[in-house]
Amino acid sequence: MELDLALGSYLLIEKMNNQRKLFAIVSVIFLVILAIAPFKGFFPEWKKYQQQYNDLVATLPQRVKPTEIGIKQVWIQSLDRVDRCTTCHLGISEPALKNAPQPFRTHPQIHHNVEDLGCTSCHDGQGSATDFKEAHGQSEYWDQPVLPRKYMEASCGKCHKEQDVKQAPILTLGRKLIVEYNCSGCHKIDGFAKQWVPPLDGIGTQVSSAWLFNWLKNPRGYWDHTHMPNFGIADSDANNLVDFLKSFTSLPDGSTLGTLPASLLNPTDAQKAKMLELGATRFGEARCVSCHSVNGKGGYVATDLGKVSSKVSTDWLYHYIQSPKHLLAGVAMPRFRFTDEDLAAVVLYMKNEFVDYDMVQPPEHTPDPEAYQKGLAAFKKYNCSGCHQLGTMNRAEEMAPELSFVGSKRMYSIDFGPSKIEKTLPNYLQAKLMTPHAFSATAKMPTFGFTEQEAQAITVALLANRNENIPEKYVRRSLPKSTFSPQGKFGKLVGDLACLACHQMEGNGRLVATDLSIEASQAHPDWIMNYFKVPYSLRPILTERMPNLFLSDSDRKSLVDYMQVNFIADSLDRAIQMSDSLIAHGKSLYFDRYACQSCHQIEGKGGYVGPPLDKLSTRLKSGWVYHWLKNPKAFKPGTIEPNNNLSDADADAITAFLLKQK
Amino acid sequence: MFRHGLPISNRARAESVFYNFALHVHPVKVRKRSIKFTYTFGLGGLSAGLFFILTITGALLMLYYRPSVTEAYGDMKDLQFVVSSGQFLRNMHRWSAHAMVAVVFLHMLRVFYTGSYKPPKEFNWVMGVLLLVLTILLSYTGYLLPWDQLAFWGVSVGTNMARAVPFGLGDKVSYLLLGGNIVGENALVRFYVLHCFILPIVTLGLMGVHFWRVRKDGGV
Amino acid sequence: MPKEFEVESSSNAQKVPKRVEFVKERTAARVRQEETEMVMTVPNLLVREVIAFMILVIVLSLLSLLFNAPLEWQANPQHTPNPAKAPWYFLGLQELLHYFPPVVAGVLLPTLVVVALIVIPYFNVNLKQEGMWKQHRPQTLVIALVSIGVVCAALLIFHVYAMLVPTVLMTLLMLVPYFSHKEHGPIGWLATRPVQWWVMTWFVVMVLVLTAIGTLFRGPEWSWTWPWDHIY
Repeated sequence: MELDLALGSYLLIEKMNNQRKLFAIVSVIFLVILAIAPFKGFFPEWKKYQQQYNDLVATLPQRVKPTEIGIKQVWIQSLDRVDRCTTCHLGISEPALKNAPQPFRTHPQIHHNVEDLGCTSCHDGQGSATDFKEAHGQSEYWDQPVLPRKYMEASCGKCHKEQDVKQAPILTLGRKLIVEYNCSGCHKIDGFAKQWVPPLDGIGTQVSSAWLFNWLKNPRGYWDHTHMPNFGIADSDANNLVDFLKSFTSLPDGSTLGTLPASLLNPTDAQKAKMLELGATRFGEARCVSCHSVNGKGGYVATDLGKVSSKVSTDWLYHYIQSPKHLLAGVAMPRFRFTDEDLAAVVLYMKNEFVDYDMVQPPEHTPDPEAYQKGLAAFKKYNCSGCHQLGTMNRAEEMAPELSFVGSKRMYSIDFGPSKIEKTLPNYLQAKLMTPHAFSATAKMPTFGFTEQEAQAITVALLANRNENIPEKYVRRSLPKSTFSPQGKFGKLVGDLACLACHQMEGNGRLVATDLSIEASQAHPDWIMNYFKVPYSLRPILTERMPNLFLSDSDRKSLVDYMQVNFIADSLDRAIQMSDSLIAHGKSLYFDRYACQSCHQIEGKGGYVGPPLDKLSTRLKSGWVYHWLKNPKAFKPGTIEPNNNLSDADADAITAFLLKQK
Repeated sequence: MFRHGLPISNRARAESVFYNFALHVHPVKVRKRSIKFTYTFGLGGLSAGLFFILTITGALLMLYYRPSVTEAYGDMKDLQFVVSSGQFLRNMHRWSAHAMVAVVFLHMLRVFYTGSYKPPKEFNWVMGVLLLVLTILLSYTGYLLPWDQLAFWGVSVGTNMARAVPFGLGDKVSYLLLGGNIVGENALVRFYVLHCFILPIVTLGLMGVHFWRVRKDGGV
Repeated sequence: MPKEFEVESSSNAQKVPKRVEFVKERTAARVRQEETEMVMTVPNLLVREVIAFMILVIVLSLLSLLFNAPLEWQANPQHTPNPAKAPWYFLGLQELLHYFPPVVAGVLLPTLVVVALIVIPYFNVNLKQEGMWKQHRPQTLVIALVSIGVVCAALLIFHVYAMLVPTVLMTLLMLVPYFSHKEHGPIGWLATRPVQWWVMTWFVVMVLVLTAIGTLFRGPEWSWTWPWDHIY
């Protein structure tokens, strides 16, 4: 009995002890856990970097202030951003760390201040994050990881909506390409204009069926600079499209082509030989190759002429050169003032010379009785009206996705299909541009054949299209496009001669050649009159040279008269007293002080970098020479002529010396 | 205990129960068999413990959280990245919330299978069922607050279910719940107030009744 | 008959009334054993409670240290994730929604469940917890089979095989003690299960099965997906 009791109490004590042990153990673990729980946030990655930074700056010869351990952040209220990148990127504004390893390296010189824009405004990534993976946006739940360097300029484009962003050449190129390739023919893209493409009315009398078939199948097979993409059109569709297009024989105004002169239709052999000779001469004089290439050699402004006789009909070519804008509304080709005889000769020469002897004949096909309907369907299917005008047909309502905000495209909305590329938006866009079918075999987008650089540039330009709320004060836009359009006879001539295709006037036109806005302040009217008659180039090596338009005297006079009144800037006027002493002084300045002869030819001596300076006086006005010498870049931003900071007197003297040269 | 030292005598032990506010939910003496772990598995107590943990962590989280569509997600990111132990607090709150739903449900099963719902405890069973519903509602209203995709669509699915209430009441119910027709700013504020004030108060009240009934019905 | 007790109804606060108890046939109150040993709440219960609470905190802290709470993309009303899933405790309901019209799955069934849970103690069915097959075996069988048949027919009409299969399996299990008369072992244990045990267990199994399917086996368009085919 006693034993039992003793045993019982022993067991009870034993049990009690077990419980105490349990209590003790659990309590210890409990306290340990409570103690270590805060450490989850206590040893973050960034502390390691900050310590590394302090170690690094201690070894530098320069004195660089070590950082205080703690999270650093830039808060930009107007952009709704909190960027903690500077927690690890500690040396971004510390010049001494130019060659330090990342993340401590100095930020390259830019025109923006991190205090104004933060980091993620340009770099993307997750500004609020404080560990490497999350901050750089390499997490599943962050759609905009840090922009790879090659797409970096996209961020410039978020605010810089100008056409030409000087310090972002890739972005600028991309935007240019988007316009040139008419992306907005199919995609809606805010802020991108459409480029002119030839209208298709009258195409039935313009081109041969064989050429058209080959062209539709592979445009670059004919001309490798064309912007027309390859749609991968099947033979049947191509045949139907050819038949469909060939049925459009009348011009937009309803008229048809006139008749050809007899000399062109049935020349005798003797006539023919004479005409070919004349045609070759006129073809050269008119400087067609300033704009057109011939089998790859020549200008890039207009199409290649090397195989043109296998493309267009004689009939069409004759009337086209006679009046380009009548056949192709909006084309930039000037109307050369050929005589009928010259014109026939040029056409015969071209038909004779520019034959494609290698043209592949398309496979035989029996015309489909429903070719017109099927062709029309194909025309719509490929959204040809997106770019080309044909009758009253409208382009399809945006066939393709809108790209105005494509830079903010969310990852979930991208279908990478079977593609194996790393899943980021820039990768997607670039791959799509290079191989439109990369993500889906049934994608409608045609192949443009972009090079990698071009695709990258377009990707950059597209990535700049975000729907972020950027306050208007940050946004920079192009100045409104010039609406300068001359009136009267001059205006008519400017249109007819397509001056604005190469020259700029008052901010309007394409700048291939010179800006004519102050031409009359620069050149003497007599010189201009003469120049129209025998255009020559100041730099004979250039491809794009002023063509001879064979203008009549009255036309030339109208042009010069207008320019004398309108293209003149009074501020550039400066009369110079041509005294012998001044000329002598100028000569010494020219040769000794400024050594201009190292670049320019004068009196048969000097370098070839700049244009020769003999016979300036017949061309240039003194005021213009004077002002050019004072500041060359004011007239030609890209010129390499240095600004020598000439005094007024020195500039006068050199001007006098230069204009003395006859 | 802290005022009087460790209770050695049974008298002191008894006094430490009935002179203590927190402990007076317990009787002075309990049946030895009922404190065996397998008797209740401690599920009710664990539920109360979870509620306690959730209150503490929730109150701390409230310090850093603003119930606004534009701020909420950013505040979650701040909790994750810059608030000391912010991520730990959030984890604790989240996992405790999930645990509480499960533990309360298990508690209900335990009560059922031990037959502890029978008269005279039927009223307390009803309290228990209500507490289960409240627990689920608490968890559900809290689910929206991070304002991420998971939250937004999880809650949208739920409120769309509420739309199925017949007799034209469905839209009204969901409108009342969301303060609008979509899950937006108003819904966020409503869920926040429900989650942080109304539902906890009601739950606390019912818990009081529930514990009191447990005592009255002769439980621990 | 001698008076065995006296009903006392007194308002004399100084007197302690005698306790009486009516023991009717249809109540559960009966004394099976004498009151067992009592122990002091402090420290016996208190220590256990403290230990339990500490273990709870330890487990949760470890969970919180090891696993981060999910935080996905910022809410985007434009983009519905596929599938859009409710929190896990509603996935059973969402799974029902896949089978039944919204009124049934979203309103009727949950309301029924809550109401049923509330009224359980007021039904006073079989308070003695007698095994299902103890009395009125043929009638019980008929009633059980008919009600189960109705449920199964409803499930079949709506193609709810996820519920139908476990229901049939459980029915088979329930019928085992009807045909076998073993008094010991698992079958004997099943034989002692009362009818409410079967109903509740069926409910729990349904909740578990539906929640598990909704959580683990449902992918885009709520189609059947194996858990190892998608990342969770």
